Amino acid sequence: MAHKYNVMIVDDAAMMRLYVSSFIQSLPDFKVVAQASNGQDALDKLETTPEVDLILLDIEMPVMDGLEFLRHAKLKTRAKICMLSSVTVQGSPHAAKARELGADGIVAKPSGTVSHDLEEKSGDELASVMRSLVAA
Amino acid sequence: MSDDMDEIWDLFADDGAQALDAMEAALLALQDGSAPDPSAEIGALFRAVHTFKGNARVLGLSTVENRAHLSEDLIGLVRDEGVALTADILDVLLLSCDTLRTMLEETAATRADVEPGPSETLTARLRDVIAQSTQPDGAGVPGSAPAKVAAIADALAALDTADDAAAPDADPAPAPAAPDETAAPAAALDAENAPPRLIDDPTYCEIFEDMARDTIARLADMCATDGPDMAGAAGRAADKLSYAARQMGLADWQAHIDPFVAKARGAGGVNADHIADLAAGLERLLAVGIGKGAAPVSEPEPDGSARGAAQTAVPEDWNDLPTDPVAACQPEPAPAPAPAEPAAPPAPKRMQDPAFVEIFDGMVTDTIARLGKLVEDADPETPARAARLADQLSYAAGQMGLETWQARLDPFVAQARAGDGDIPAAIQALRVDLGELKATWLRGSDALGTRDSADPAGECAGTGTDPVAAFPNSVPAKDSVPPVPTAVADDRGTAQMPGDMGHGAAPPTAARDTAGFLFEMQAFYPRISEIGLHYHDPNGQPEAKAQDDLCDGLAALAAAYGYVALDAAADTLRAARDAVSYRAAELGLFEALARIERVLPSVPGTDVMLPSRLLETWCADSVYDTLVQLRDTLDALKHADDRAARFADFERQMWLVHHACNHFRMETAAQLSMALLDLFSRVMVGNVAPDAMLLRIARGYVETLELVFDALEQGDTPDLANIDALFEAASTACFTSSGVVSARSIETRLNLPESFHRVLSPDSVRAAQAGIEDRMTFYIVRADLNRDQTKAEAFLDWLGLGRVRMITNVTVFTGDDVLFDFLLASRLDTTEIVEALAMIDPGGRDLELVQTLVSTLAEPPDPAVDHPEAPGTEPPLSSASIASTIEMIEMIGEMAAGQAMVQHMLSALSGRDLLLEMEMALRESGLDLPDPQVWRVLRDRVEDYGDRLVQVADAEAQLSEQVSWLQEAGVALRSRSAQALLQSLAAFVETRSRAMGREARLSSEGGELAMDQTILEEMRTHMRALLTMRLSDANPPTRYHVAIMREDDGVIITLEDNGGPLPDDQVVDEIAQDLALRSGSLRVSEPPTGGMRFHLMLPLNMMVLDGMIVRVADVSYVIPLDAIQGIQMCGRRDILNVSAEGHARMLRVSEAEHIPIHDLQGARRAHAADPRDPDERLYVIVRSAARHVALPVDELLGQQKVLLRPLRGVLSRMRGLTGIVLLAGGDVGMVLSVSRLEAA
Repeated sequence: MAHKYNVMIVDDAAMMRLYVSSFIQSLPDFKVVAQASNGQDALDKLETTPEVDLILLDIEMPVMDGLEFLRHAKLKTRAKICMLSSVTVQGSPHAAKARELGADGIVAKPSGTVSHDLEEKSGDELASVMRSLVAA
Repeated sequence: MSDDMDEIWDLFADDGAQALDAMEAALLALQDGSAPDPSAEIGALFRAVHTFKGNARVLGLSTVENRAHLSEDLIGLVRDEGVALTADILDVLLLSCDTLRTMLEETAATRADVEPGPSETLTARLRDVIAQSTQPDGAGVPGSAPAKVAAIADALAALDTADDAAAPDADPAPAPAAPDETAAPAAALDAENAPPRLIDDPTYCEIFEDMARDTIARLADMCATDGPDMAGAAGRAADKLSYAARQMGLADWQAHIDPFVAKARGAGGVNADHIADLAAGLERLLAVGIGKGAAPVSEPEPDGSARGAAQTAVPEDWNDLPTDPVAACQPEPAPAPAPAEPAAPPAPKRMQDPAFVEIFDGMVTDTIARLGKLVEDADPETPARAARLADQLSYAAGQMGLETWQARLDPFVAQARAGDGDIPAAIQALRVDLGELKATWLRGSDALGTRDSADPAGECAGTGTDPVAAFPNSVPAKDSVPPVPTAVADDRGTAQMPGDMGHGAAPPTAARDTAGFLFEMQAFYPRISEIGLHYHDPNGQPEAKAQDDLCDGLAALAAAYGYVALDAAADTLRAARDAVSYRAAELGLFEALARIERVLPSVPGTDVMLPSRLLETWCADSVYDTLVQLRDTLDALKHADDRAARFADFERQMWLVHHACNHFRMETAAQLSMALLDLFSRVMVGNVAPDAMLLRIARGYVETLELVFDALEQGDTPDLANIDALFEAASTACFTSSGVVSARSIETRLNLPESFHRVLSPDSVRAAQAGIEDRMTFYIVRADLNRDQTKAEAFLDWLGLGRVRMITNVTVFTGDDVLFDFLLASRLDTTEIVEALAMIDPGGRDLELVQTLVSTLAEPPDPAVDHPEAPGTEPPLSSASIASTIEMIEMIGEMAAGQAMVQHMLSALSGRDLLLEMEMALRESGLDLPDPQVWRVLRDRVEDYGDRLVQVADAEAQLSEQVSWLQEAGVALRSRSAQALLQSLAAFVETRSRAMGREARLSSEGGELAMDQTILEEMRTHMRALLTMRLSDANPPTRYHVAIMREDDGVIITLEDNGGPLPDDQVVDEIAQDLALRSGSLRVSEPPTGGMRFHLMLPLNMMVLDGMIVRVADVSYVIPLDAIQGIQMCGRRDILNVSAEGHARMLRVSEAEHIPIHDLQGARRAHAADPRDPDERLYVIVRSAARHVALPVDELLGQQKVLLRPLRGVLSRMRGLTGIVLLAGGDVGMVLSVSRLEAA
């Protein structure tokens, strides 16, 4: 079996976690090893799941938001960190801030359309970014 | 994915309901004031709506997303922008909550978006409230927020577009394909291809656990209440849980529950004991852990047998099970190969970030403690664990840029991994060294091996206590702290233990005396500035000793506080011995200070000058140079081999521009600089050249900022529209395999029709770019999806087959029909597309191929190269364009004068009776009149000619009106708000005073006035000269007040301050002389209340004036109509001589009133002294300030709209005049300044 990269999903929306994890499970080269509903939860889970290769990170979360977690994670794990932005603005202030803090990648959260192509439209970008990050 | 769609929709319903519950609860708590922490409540409110919006977005529910987005924006204004949470806002949000809940129920049931119509009222209300809240002077919006709230207002406009664009998506939305339930078991047979098991998913485990606990509680309630339908209810509850267990693959749970369900359904039923047994069994299963009691199974075979059993191994030691049931569900991660180290990121400034510093500090503390514990609990795993801890800290140190830490940690990691030598001793040594490193860090030195006798690490290592516990309060040895150079330091007491972030030094501590440092630094700023001014003075060089003294002082302060970066900056400043290097050293110093300021735990009061402000001011002063360098760097980035070095230049220059933008509070421009830096960073990670589009945006950014700063320099209001446009371009840019692509480039490459402009989302752009790269053909297909549902579904199904790729679609309104234009990409040729459409719609009524678009792979031309100004954008007026507008307006003024003359001549011609004139001429010449028949023919022709002449005169009158309008429009184009001048003066006072180590403020009034920019520019020059003079005074004012007033013929600007008396100063004389040359004046006075008052007057010019033209002797004068109080004929008897010389005369205008006479030609033409004066003469009575003045004139020539122009050359010395105008016929008229008429 081909090697799979370990992914942690950090998002306070359970539906988003499910959506993203379901998508990742359809990828041959990734697997979800942890999910967290906020930054503090993610820090705790990093303690028990240290071998994470990639963290998909939401920004707006209770308890500890994504930017705050990013600071911790940059020091506490070698995992690549990809921000899941709720706006499709790569040059947004949030993105710039995340970049400044050391985010390795930024990708828009998926958005569906009438044309049934949830995977095709948003998944391609996510998969592409994920692969480029772990390959770097 | 499709297998999960049911679950996703279910979660959407559950999550959505929870989010809306949270939203409602928060709103109600805020409404009745019961929220203990309103800001926390608002934060929760925001997140609830944000989550709801994101979920709707995932499912493509555009209308729902749109409404939630508006609500989120409104809450965002309250949370982030300081907008007050009013009853209005709470009401509309509660309405929004109710509406979203209705939408949730509907969408969860139909799995399609809702109709936008019913929620339009809510949308309108939300927009109204947001619009009210984003008014710049709105009650709820603080003055600092308008840029952000304006951005939100802009975003609303974008939402409008998105809403419209989403409509076609929403209407025909089919339900997502139902999961193929029969396919799942078959797929499960193949272990490799087995679908992911729900039991592996912690979310499912969480959900199942919640369900189980809920079921147990309900079963307990049933037993307690013993209701009539107890058995039925228990059976249903158990059956539901059994179903969930089956979905999860939990055979042990099913085995426990199913017999109960069967019994409950059977004739015998179940009683309370059965229910209690079931509940107890479920409790036991929960205690064991979900999935741990027995092997989970996959979906059962149709015959009921379980397959796929024993896929989860039962741990040998149950005590090793994680107590967290969720964690228990997580599969053991496979060891991943160490990923390659990432390419060096573009220098993250983590050492400048107090949060990073604090985290690292905590890690050091934690690591030392854990290493100590490892030594205490030594076992065979100790070396590996110690290696992991040290490795992790080394990694963190690397991230922080602390190389010396890594140099110490990495050898230990290698030793521990190899198990070489005495590992416990090595661990202890490492702990000591880590303590040493930290102590050194606190002293501001990164050198290793300079152990202090007071080293707490060494002390603790010996005693076994935690060595780091003492660090936050540790103080360097007293003799190592140089004396603090000012009294402030003495008051502060012992120098505290700061660190220097710029050299990887100390973390911030709460004990640091931040105010003391910043106060002490203030004493240096004027000296720094003064020496810099000397370097720029061609006639003078600063004294080397003064510079050395300054740097010595800085170094002493740096040593006292332990700021090594400040010490280094002082050294650089000391070495700078010319203007250029000194300026660069000055920047380095401000940067170092700004870094220190950022890590200080709290910002002192507003009275302290902040280094970050000085840095911004420095950057603003040098922004032109920076922009020039940036332009060169952009060119170099495209071609250079040493791209990394060039990018470093780019990054630095962008930061400098960022600071400059912040100086002028241009938030969008500052954000754009960071956004561009972000975009370039991504490109540079791949070490490739930025593509044309990115460079174009960046060049546009540079060019626009040059114009913006130019406008600011001129005291003008900059046009920031292009900044917004560039920000939008940067925001919609997205990355593809070929680089950065924007919606605009796709529009150009595909030559998309107008209807598809500005509608492409980043996803669409990416899809279109992929289609272009794959050499697909693009089609626009028009579809009527409302007429025939079957065809519509067939068409949408066809889109989903994969033979065509939908890029986007737009709504088309044709009469009463609402159609959709789909932009598609495909490898099919036109014929195949037509055939496919014909298969779906044989009659061709509902589907039509409208257009075939052939893409080009070529990059669109670079407008930055071909057309320096982006099309469709209006650059702000530059100096050159200002000059050209003056020329243009003057030319229009000449046209207007010419038109007036032509009109006058035509009017005279058309008023003539040519027949009468001919008859008179014939009679005077003694000639006979022509035959009556001949005369009649002549009369007809002449009358016809006269009629035509009248028509021409009418047309000319119309043209004159238009030219007058053009003239006024041109003048309005040059008109600017005085507010821009006042703001720039306030900023000038603030920054200059700070640069001199002082604090001064400028208040103002009259900003609402508008006037020609030339006047504003002249005022700016004079006011800055006056302010500079006053700011440089030995006893400088701390308060300034500027008032601008406009009179009939001039602008008055008054400057008052609270400073000392004015010394003899050349500046005032120079300004007075300069103003006099422009028919202006400067008066200086000392108000009795103290301070100084400067009264400047400048005549108006470049304005359109309604004037009465009068002639006095052979000179034409123009008197502003507004100033004329009356015109009357008076004789000698009305003249009263009131002085012995006969020069002062009064005119009696009524029995009770006499007013002074002012002779425009001077006293030599005084009425009494000039025998040529007629008995009766015309007098124009004008209002001058508070009194009336009579002007004797020879003739009234008429009224005309004229363009007032400034006096130039010898005319500028004439007093009593405002300017000159061009009169009809080309004559020049003098415009009287009635407020400055001198009474005769």
